[in-house]
Amino acid sequence: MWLEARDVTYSYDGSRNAIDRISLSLDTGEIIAILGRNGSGKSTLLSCLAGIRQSAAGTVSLDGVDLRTMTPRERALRVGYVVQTVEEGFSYTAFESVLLGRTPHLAVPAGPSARDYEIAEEALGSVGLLHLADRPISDMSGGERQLVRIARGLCQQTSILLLDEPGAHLDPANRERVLEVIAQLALRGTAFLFTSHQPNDALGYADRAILLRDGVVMADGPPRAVIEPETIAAAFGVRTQSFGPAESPALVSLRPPVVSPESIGQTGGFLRELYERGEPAGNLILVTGLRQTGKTTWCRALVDQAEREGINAAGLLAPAVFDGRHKSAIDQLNLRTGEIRRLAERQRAFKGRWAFGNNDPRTAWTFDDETIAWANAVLENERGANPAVVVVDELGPLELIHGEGVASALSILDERRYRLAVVVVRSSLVPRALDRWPWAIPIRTDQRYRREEIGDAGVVE
Amino acid sequence: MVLVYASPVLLGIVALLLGRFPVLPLTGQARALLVGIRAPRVVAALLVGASLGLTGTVLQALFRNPLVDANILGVSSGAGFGAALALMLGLGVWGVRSIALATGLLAVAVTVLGARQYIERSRLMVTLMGILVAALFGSLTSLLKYLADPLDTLPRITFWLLGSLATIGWRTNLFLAILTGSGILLVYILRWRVNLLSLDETEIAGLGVSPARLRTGFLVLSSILTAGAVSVSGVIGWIGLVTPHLGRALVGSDHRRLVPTAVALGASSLLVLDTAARTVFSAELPIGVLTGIVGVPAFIAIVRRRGERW
Repeated sequence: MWLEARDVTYSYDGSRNAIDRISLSLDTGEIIAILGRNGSGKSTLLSCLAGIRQSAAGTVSLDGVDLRTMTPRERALRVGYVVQTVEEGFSYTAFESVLLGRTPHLAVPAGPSARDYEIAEEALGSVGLLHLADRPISDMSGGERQLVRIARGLCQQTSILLLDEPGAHLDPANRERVLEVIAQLALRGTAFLFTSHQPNDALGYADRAILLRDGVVMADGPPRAVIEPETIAAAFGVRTQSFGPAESPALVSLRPPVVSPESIGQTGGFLRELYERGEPAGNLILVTGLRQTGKTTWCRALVDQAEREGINAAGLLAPAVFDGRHKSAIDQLNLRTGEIRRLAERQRAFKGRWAFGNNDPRTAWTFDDETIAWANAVLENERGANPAVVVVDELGPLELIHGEGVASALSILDERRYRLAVVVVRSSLVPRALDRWPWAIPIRTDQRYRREEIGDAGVVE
Repeated sequence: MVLVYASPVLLGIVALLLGRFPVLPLTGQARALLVGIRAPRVVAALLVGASLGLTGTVLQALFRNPLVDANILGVSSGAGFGAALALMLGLGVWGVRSIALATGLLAVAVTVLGARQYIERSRLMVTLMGILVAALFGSLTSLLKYLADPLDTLPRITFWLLGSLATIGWRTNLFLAILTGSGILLVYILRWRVNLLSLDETEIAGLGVSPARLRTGFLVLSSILTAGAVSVSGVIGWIGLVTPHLGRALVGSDHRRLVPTAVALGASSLLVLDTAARTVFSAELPIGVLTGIVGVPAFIAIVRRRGERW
């Protein structure tokens, strides 16, 4: 059995396509893993492949026969679909629930036969739940319910089984068990396509991995080619590192490490290493953290240390101006000339341009267009001067979401002619930054740069 | 279990013997009473009860809602309005029943057509539509009661709305038997499908069944059965709500066992209550009142014991 999707497109509201011209083919015994962020169109794609949603354009065919020409029952005999968590209906027992998977095999007036009971029992056994056969689903944990749903899909005995996040709610042992069942059945010829949020599911069990992003295919190929830190960073906005033997690597997502700014001056130090390896393409670190965690102070310490090492560091800092404990304004400082201009002010009465959905007058900021233009010019100038270390403090929603502010000068970061770029970005915007610079490395600042640690007097944030 | 399935017959025999007039020894007068009055009433109680148990079970599965019975579609309110209208117009028993049947079906039609684009996707929208339609017909009935002659028509309307099995004769029973019998038969044939009713629409579709057709089919079937029962018995609440819960407590949620159990329980319980209504008190109690007085505590007891395990 061979499932082929060609240019499958589906839209919920008629204006924006949830999935857009997706093509793939699934052969006998093959396992495809589909990865992508929440809302990237994975479930929509699966329901189109199952024939439950009619693709607005494009076709889905089974052995060359268009799915739309089949009756629902003919389809259900060939393609099974295990949906993502659903609200349970009445509390059937686990066994009764699995048995429902036999529905397409049953003639209308008939109930399941002894053979159907056997198949259901085997399916329940293969997910390791036979001892709970008579337990009502309503008394089961989320993971057990998930196993029951998977068993129902297996019980349908289709040659193609689509599973929407089979690993959801499962503990590591059950997750491996389910994936192992999939792998074993694939050896016997069943084709599987499953979605997952775990890159390692694809690395460990799939023959092919497809990365979806905003409804389009971002990458498609053998898992080891597709699932590597840079594509994962671009697909999910998270930094990972590859571990394990080359023939069976695994990706581990990393919490941004705490990095000391002085390490630029230490042989073998984190920043020093990045700096040294910053040729021919420069490295980019994202200095992350919530507000007032000392990101700007950290940058300033880095610049000072770089100067002591004779490394040319230039760019922009964004020191905050405090009114007591209250952040009242943000300046912009040109590191090369020391010139400071007022970038933004918090408005008591709302009149700002950039409210970003926050219309609370007490927190609205007004940005100065002239300073923005000046900041752009500073970065443009540094692009020509080509310093070894480029500092951009700070990229906010203005640049990363709205494409304004200093966004137009950001090609200095894209070009990677620096050895090290230091970009300050709040934690919530890290995925956005990784979108644009998938090679970027998020880090955290030292505790000692927190404002509370160094006191209020005369300190920039 | 056998006892549950046999109970309608056993209780039926007992009910035939109970009453204000003794039927044993079987004299000519007693035989006339038995065949002409008591037996048709016993049969009617069994048929209406079976019908309420059946539709209650199917609709609870369909709406995946343990608080649902046939009222959810507006059938009862529609039929009540029709009956009130017919009584105001001074029509006879069959006139009242025909109009009640027609308006009951009309109410369902409004509900189902009004919510038709949601039948596949949203149970809540169908429920909402049913509640709205029921409210509308309820208001119209109130209007008729307000306008009705308080000495003559109003008591008759009130009496009808409280439900009664007293006026049901053999011909009506035949109509009820055909309707309820074919309903039970159909649901029995489709018993595996009833289990699918409470699944999510994507799951139903994944199993090769059209969710819209499945749901619409069972909605229409339940509506016709309910409209038929209500048009002859008046509004009898609680049986359809409580018996599926009692059934689930006894045999679990698999509708292959639950449906026959709920049918048997519905038939038996309505028979017991109706028999009590006509024998325990010196004046006959309206059956719709008694089902509430007994059904509500029973429902509370079941729900408290079983918790949220529908």
